[in-house]
Amino acid sequence: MKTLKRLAHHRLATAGAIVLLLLSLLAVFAPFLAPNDPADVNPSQGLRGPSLQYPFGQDALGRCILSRMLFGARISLTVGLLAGVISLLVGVVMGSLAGYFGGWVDLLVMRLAEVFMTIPQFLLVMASVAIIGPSFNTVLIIIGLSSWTGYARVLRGEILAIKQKPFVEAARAYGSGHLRLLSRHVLPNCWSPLIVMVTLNVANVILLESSLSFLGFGIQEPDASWGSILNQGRTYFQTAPHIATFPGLAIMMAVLAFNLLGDGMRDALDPKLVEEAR
Amino acid sequence: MLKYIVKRVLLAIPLILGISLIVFGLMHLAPGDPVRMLAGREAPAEVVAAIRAEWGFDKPFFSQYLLWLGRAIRLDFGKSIATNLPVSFLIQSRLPYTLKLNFWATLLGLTIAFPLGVMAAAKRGTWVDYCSSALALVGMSMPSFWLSMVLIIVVSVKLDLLPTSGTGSWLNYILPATALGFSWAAGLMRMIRTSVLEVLKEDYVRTARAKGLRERAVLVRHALRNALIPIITVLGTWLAFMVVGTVIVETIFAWPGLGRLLTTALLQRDFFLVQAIILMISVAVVAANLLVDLMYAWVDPRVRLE
Amino acid sequence: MKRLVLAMLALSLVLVGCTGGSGSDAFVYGNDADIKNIAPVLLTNVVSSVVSYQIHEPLVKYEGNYELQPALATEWSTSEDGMTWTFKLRPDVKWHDGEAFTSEDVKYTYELVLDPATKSIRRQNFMIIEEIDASDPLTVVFHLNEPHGPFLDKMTQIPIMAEHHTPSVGLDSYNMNPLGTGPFVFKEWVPDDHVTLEANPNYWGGKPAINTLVFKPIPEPAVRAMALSKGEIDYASGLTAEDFANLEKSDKVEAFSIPQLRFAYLGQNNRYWLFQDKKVRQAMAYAVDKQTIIDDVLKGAARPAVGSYAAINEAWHNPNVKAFDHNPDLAKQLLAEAGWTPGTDGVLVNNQGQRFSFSVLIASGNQQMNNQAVLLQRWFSEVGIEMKLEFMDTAVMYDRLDARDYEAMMLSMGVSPEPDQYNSWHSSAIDNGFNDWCYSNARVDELLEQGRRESDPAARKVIYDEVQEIMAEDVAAIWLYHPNTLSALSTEFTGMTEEPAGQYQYLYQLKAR
Repeated sequence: MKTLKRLAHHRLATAGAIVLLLLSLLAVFAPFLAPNDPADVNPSQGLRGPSLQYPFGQDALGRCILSRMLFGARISLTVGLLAGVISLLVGVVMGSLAGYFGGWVDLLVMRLAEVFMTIPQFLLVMASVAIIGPSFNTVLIIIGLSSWTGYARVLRGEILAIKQKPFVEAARAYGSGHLRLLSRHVLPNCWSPLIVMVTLNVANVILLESSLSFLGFGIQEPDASWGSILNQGRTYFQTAPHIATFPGLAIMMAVLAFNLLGDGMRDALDPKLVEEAR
Repeated sequence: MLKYIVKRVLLAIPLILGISLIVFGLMHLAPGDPVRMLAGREAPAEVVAAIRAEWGFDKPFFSQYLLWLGRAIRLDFGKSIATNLPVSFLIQSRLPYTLKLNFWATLLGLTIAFPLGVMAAAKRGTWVDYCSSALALVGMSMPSFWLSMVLIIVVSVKLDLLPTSGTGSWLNYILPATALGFSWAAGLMRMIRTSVLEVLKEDYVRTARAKGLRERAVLVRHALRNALIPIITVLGTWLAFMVVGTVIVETIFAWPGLGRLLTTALLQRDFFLVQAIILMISVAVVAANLLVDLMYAWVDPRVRLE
Repeated sequence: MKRLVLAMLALSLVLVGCTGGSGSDAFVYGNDADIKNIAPVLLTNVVSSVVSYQIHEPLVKYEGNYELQPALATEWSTSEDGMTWTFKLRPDVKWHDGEAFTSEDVKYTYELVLDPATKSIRRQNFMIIEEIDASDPLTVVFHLNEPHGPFLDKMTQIPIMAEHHTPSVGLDSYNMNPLGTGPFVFKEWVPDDHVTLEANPNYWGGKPAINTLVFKPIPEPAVRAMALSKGEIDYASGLTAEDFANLEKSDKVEAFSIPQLRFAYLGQNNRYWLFQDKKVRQAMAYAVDKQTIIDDVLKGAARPAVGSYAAINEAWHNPNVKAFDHNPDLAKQLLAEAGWTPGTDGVLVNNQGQRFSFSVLIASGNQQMNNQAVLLQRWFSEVGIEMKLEFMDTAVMYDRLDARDYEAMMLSMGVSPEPDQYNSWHSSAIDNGFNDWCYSNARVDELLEQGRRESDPAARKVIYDEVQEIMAEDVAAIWLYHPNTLSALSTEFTGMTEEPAGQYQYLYQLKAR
């Protein structure tokens, strides 16, 4: 509760949270808010600029860009959040294994983490998506699987510190199982840095998805993410700049909001946390 | 110190092996057949078979890996499947361009980030702080290809100040270096600001102030110097950061560098080339991290004992 | 501090260096990609071919129209039985290093193509060559193992390489040191940055007016268009329809929209169970609105296709074939006749309860293809057909096509003016060729075999007219359009030839205005 209050005092973080809330609401209520059917094509009206009926203009096939962006918000935010959650889960599992069991398990996991941290994430993701084939699920899973290392390291450190503490020894002596120990004593102690990391990670993922779209490996037609609409706009950057402008701004806004929220949460929760998530 | 260096270097070896295995394995999961890409759609079966045998694609995975690793150690990365040219030649011809571009992007980033970061910290809570922080946040949130296109349209086409793309004179460096350096600078600036702020809270800074030193002297002589230490870490992530930008910026600005080579190679499934580039960049990252660690150890002797 | 600044400045000068600007009489050709290998026997992509054809020359060529014209050969003849072809070579032709060009070079080049170690993708095309006779320096005689109508056309595919030079350079590093007889001499190649050629002062056709020819790869189409309008390049190829329309308005460039023989299609796998019924294929053809694709997606830069032979190839095109103009009602009616009835979700089902649903392979990253795919998807859904889009990169797609592991695909295919399309449509090419559509029709097989052996143009015309009729009626593929290539030339230059045949441009006639 105290942290929440502190967070609320953080004006920028509050602004970030509000923007994100708004974006999520837009995404959730997209079917009611969209002025047009996002899949409705009017090829003869391709590339028209903003008008009353199409506030953000029309894309090459005459589809309503605003409506596509509202539905695209679902995909962009979902990719961001789910990839964040996947990497969190993988990170928690790996970090727990390493910290809890120690020994060669620790060695193996941490070496693997080091390998993953050394190969630039974008290269890894770009190569894997190119290889497996672009689709919503591939993008999601690969981004998720490639950014677990930060979480694992934080968790491992936390567990190593906690393992020394007397109450853990005590719980062990009473015969608590591994999982119980972990969920009861370890995780509650480190959820705050993890959540900050997820928030910052989501911002990163949204940008990463748009970079993938640039290479043609992002979300594919007829679906759209902000990144893929932006990438479509790149072909018409000179002739119809409105196509790239709006999704570009949307991405910027969302990433900014996640960054602000993450920063604010870090200040509020744990001022000492090193910026591990990026 | 020497012992520490040797230990760190030895630890890097399994790391590099792990990276090479992942990089090699990754390309082999690919459903696309590189030989078909090489030979083209119209190639007859015996040509395909000949190429497959020549490149060793018919051998089992581990012998392919060992074959490749053995040659990679001698810096022989084989030939590009798409052009039949030696991979080392292709990389060599691109590397100077990428290095030059990155040098200017880094220089640009540093010249933006340092003064702004320090100033933002020194004048915390003023409009200087807000403006530069806002700039940093925007810089970090912009997709780099969007920034690149906006730069071309505005600076090159609308204002007609600089060339759109390609190499040639020094003017050709400005736009891609800006596109590449800007978001890195944004992150760096924030890091510098935080770091300087933290140092300013320290006792010795307070003492210096109490001694009656002028604010500027406090900042330069005490705060900045100590704030530099955590910044070394950020410099370590520099390379990884530049890689992403390089791939995109080089393609848009028609820059003949490694990033663009990698993009084309990936689309053509030019196995050996992709492997070599990713491996090379990763080894560079290992080297950069090693350097950062050693710098740390040199600056702060406690690290060595860990 | 000052010293530091000075040191930085000095370093910056060193680092920037100077790659040397091109002179005022230079022509800069903006491409979408860099060259791969420009050795004539190893050409695989358009860019390499364009560059290679300025340096090297074939025996005969297409230039400006579909008539074969003399290049290194001045005249040619074939024996009565069609088994022997004799070419008289142009005298006084010198290689760029001053050596004389002779029939030995021709013999060497074709033997190089035929050598399996060369791994030329065109080898198959020349397997009909039994022996090459170069006993006279200015005459070369090809002995074939069977009469072959398309032989002369194939002679345009391989420019001649120097026997005294090529082996010492090697094919792999040929890009560094190519040698030809053509109007331009190779100067340098900086990978991904530029290829520079210089005018050949001793060219048999006269020294070109342009002194320096620079090929510059600029992968982003929008950036390529902007570079042209800013005068950084003098010619841009492969423009998008939108940039083209934009450039057309400018008085600084001359825009070219050149019809191609290439045809774009939605190819159904004719072996897949869904597409067995001819009525179904015809219904699908009726469901598609080609004209909208042409008008709105391609901004008019294409012509509707009714088969794989383009109307501009007047000598061979058969205009009297069935054209399937957009008619969704007729499509629905045909589908009903074929036993498909609307299901609960709007998708048709047959009497066994199977849904009419298939997936189509599309290369990712091609905006125009994406747009067309989305439109096709809409049109099919209007008649109750579900088409799922499956995006992948070209390498993966080729694999799936080779394995015939697909339900449908969207692609385009380049064709030569020569009417022989045996390798694409003969049923034997399903397992052993490029019949990606898995199309099989006994009568078409028979006709394609006849057409190859026949050398009388009038007799061939009758044969290929029938082939076109049957394939249209069969809906061997859902023909979409024949695209134009869009490019633009700075008005400071004239004399660009744009090759309608999908052959490569010749740039020796370029000159500054």
